[in-house]
Amino acid sequence: MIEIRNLSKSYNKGQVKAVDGLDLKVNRGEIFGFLGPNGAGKTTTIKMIVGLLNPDTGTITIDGTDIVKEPIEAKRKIGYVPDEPTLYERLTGFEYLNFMADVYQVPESVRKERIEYYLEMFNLRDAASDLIKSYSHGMRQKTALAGALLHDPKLWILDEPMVGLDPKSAHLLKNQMREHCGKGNTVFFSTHVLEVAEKLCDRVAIINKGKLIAIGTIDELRHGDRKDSLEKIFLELTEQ
Amino acid sequence: MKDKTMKCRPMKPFTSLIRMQLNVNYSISALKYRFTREKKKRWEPILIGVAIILSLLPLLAMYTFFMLSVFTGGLMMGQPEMVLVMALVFAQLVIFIFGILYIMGTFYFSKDIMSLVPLPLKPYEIIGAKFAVVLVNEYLTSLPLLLPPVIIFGIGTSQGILYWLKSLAIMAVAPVIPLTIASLLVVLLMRVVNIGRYKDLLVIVGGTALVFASFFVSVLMQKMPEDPEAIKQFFAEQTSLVDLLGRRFPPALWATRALADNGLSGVGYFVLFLAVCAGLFIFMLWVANQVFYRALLAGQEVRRKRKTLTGEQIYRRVGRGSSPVLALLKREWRLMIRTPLYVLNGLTGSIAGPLIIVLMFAVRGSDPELAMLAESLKDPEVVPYAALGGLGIMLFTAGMNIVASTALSREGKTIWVAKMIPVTARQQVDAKFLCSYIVSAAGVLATSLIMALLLRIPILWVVLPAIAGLIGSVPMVALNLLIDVFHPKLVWNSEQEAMKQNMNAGLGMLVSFVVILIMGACAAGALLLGLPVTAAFAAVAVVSVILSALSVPALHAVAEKKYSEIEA
Repeated sequence: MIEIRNLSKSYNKGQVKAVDGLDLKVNRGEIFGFLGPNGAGKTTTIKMIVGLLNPDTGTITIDGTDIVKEPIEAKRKIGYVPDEPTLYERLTGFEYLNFMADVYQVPESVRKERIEYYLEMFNLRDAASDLIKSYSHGMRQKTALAGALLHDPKLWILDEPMVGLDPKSAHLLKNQMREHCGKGNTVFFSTHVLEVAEKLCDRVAIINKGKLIAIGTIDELRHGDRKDSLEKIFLELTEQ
Repeated sequence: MKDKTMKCRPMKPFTSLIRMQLNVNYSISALKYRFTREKKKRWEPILIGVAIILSLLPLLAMYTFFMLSVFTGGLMMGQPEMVLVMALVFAQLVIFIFGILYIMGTFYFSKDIMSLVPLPLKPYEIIGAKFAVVLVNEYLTSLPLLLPPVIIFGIGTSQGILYWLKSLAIMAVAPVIPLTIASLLVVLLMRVVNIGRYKDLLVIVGGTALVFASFFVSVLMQKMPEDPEAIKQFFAEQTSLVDLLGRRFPPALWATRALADNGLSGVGYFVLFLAVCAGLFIFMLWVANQVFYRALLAGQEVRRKRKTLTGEQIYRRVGRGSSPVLALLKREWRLMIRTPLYVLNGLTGSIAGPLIIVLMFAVRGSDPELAMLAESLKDPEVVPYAALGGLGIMLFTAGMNIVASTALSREGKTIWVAKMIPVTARQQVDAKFLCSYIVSAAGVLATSLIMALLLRIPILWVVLPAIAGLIGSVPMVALNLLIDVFHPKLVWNSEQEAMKQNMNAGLGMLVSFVVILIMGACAAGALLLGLPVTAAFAAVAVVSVILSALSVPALHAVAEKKYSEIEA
């Protein structure tokens, strides 16, 4: 579903290499966890996958579509939520969702049900008529999530999706992720919460200083030693 | 080499807070970074500074001449110090009036205020630091107002070194009293009323007051007579006002005496002025220390409607959905009309031209010149030329609209949405174009209405300029939008920065001005060739169509390139 080849991105005229020759393949139907310490290059990679940043070198294809060459086609397949979504403060939650449904051209026959479904699921029905500027951090996160999922994209790309969510919403989102993948779709998300990755992900990748340092199922990363927690593996790999 | 930015000498919390506040508010670190690291972008702040100074020069020159005539008038009446009283009263009054809103914004609504509250700082320390920020900013207002009269008086009455030293101190302290009084009013008012709820309304009221105040000042300056006898007469009428204001506000008189009187008397008034400033300031800090936090925390409570949407309401509101361009246009429009600052600078700018005509009639209705103008508009020979003048106002109105020249900049941190959605750059700028065009068209139509209803110009001569104005707005909006798309200012902390402190707004006006000049030259050319006035309208329309045919495709091409280059 996602194929990344030799991806690099640097800042400050090449002085800081945020992503350095990354190769990654995410298969259809899997929940893929993207792990790494602060400043490892996770968000930069994600932003390049969704077209917010332009790669210096390398290619990214989404379900066979190149994000740089055919951005509009590729973006239709993606539902993306950034780690700190800045939304339009002076729109109501409902207006934001309707706007997202319009730009993703969600058919009339399904948009009403989907908007109602996500408002209900994220407990936003009471707040939907209020301006987003009155929302808490968690409510903004949930509104951004609902907006990104309305067009039922094949690929969900979520940057730190659990941050700011209350336990109930986080639980519901995890169920949604499972259900989504059950239908043959794909979820790619970054997280700091290793327990979530351990329980939820079919495969994980660990990135450090812009380079991929490990990829595989949790068992593969353990090298068969069942006693090792993901935390221990993570610490060992990133401190090397 | 040792990195100077890494030094961490311990400082008293209050001193550190003041330094930090000044640094953040005036982007000192950011400027240092730009000058030392991002050397390519070094020209930007310099260019902005030069542009601001250049744009203010004519106003400053007008003010200096005005003050020079006040000095001459005062000298003739044996009161040369009148120029100082007038300037001090005027400057302190201006600082007081604008200070109220600025202090309210800085004390209670600045973005960092809630991160300062949990720190182990006393309320008076926070207020003191915030006051320093306001004070430094107010020097930008007070110095241009005080410096010319101080120089005029100093040179005009051949003052010695003591005068110049005292004047420096007086100018440095002058904004303290009005700002302290404004601060006292604000902290006490906020303690009683939860104004936080009406913040948006305040911006609108304050902004409208500003428009009217500047109009009032320009009318006052226009009324200033030129020959010496008339000046004397004018001052005989105005002296009582200055005297009254001076007596109502004794510190202005003390400061004047401190500067104008020589010897002990001057020093005495000087000490009195400084002592009153210091006393009032300390009293304000004491009061603020008692009441600041309570009002601040009460203001943080956000009002929400919390109206549960029923399924049926959702079904009704969703409707059929819109095309992406229409959806984007709706978003643009909503965000603009719901942001008071954008409304003030966007919509007000667009209807300012027509508004000034109405105000001129309201304020100077009995003016014989105006009555003559109204009378001459009944002459069928004059009407076509008046209509051409109307077209000029329409184009000027459309050209001064800064909605287009800040359209992409206003997206700020929400730009990630524009980059993420599957909508082409062309469609995105089309929506922005339409939104800006609606505002420009509103200005054109408002002018047409005034021409028809107030000036009673025959309908044909209203429709013609309206059509030419609507066509003429197209290239201006396209070019203004192109400027912003080419170099958007996406990093900003307040809506003010996105719109008013955006270089693209000034550049846009400049480009519009050039376009209006081209159109005007073509219209004048048609008239000079002896063609009928209708040909002048046609000339404007033809030029507009040609410019549109060039600018709209250019806008699309630039958008396709620049949107893909923007990194969110």
